[in-house]
Amino acid sequence: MIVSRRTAIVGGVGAAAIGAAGVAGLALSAGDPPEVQLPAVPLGKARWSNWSGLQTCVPEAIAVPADLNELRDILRRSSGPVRPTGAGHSFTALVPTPGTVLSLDRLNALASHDPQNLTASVGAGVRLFALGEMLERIGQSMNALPDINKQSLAGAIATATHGAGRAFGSLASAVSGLQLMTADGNIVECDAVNNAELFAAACVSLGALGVITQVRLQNRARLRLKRRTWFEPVADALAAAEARSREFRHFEFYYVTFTGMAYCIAHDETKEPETPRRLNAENEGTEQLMTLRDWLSWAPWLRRMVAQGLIANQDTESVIGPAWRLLSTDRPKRFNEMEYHLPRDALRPCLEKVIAAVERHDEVYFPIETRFVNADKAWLSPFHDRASASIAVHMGHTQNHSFFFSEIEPIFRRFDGRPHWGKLHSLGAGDFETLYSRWRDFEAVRRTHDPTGRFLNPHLRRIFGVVGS
Amino acid sequence: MHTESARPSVCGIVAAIVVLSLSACGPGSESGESLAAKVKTAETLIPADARLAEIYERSCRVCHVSPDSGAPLAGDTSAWKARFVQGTDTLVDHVRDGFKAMPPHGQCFDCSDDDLRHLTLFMAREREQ
Repeated sequence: MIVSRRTAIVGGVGAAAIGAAGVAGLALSAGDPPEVQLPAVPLGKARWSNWSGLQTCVPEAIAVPADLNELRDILRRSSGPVRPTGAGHSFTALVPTPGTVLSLDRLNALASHDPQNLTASVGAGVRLFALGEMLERIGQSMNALPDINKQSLAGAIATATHGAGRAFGSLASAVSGLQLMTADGNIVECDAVNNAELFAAACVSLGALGVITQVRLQNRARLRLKRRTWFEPVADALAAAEARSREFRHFEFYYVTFTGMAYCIAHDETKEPETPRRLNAENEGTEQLMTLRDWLSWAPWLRRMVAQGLIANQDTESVIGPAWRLLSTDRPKRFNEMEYHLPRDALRPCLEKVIAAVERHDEVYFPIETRFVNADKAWLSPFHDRASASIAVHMGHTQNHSFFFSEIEPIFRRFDGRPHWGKLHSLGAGDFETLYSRWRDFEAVRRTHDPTGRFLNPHLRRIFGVVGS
Repeated sequence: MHTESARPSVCGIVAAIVVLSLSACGPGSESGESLAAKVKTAETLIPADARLAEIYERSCRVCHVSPDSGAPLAGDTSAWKARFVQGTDTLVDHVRDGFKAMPPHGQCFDCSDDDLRHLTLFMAREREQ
């Protein structure tokens, strides 16, 4: 992921390190710890797992309703807790339940669209990859998209997943209407005019109000982007970040750990013709950063020198293509992640402290990601009424990431950060009540629409401060 | 602190610097043209059976038409052949239990083992043994 998703910018880094080792006849490669083998699943059951493997459960049932009638039957026939799942790209325990895991994968069709107003109503389970193609066919595009194209639309909006671009809020800000099925099987429609309070609550609701079944998106006409990438010292990237976030439609940068260098990515709208797709550009970079770590973490100065030397040889990249292809891509290398959203003026001091803390751990090889996101209106959006800068740290999926909680999260909190709902954090109801001005309003809506806590699991009970099982 | 790597010799350091000065290229990879052809093939494949086609579209296609996903491309017989050495049953077990970045059932929780087998064979362009 990270740097490698745009191009194998560090392709040469690992290759050279490996080559060096070969020349020297050394055999040092360690890699990340092996996967933990999970116990066998009882006959007739299935295991649900998130993408990184950090969250798993063997629920009573995993249901995949084909339509609203089937969904209603599932809700009315089952008695235990129900947790909707998207693509499993959250790292927090939003899904695990002993009851029913509900996959919306079959509710994924285009229901209707309005070519004049550029809206489209789609099944909530549609994956972003498929949604991009679907909207392209009807001449529409979303304004902004997150990094990963596997996520389901419902999962992405429910967790306030976001892209990079100071003009754009989280994906929930693109929603102009929602259809939910509540715990009793009733369908409720809401938008900014009808059931407006429910709409403000439901856009980012962690699947705690009901099952989002259909989403009306306010889109724009097809969007073609030109991507430019380059390296520069991280101090320069930080100094220019605010101005660049205004200059480019989408701007983000990654600090490549232990190098002192930032990898900058800018996207702007263009009418230039598409360039050939870059294929297989994502598979090498992070693995090679890991290799560099394995071979040279004993000598930080050499690790930095090797990386800087090779980064200096990397060409800048320029690629043109549809927004849905360029902004959201695959993630072949699994990881666990913590991301906090901060007031924009906190970016520089916070990132400097995060870099210092991360580089005390030379087992780290994933870059640190920085993005800009606009304020939005959903009550539980971390961007609620606050334009933000986001900082994300990652560790390989089998690595120990406990220092995220002990060393990184306290820095984020010191700068008034709000955590991404789908990414690692340790906060609970008391914290959120302070961080979100509409927290109690959301709770009132939740208790109205799910009075028995049907859509709660242990994680959400902690989030909402609900006592009991 | 990372403790798994041993401390290489001075020769290793010198070799690293020498190699660095000579090489800034990534490891060898499939030619762009060959890969592009494979991606094009993958993007056009779809199971003949309508029900399997629907499952394939929502659960398999996103990864198996993208070389960046790390998954073998649909129709890339050479990539699949290497995997079929383990036997079809093992591959189906991998899908059902999850394997590397592929989640359990390939996230197709309404798929039977037979469905998983047929979809695997379809992507590999293999016949049922």
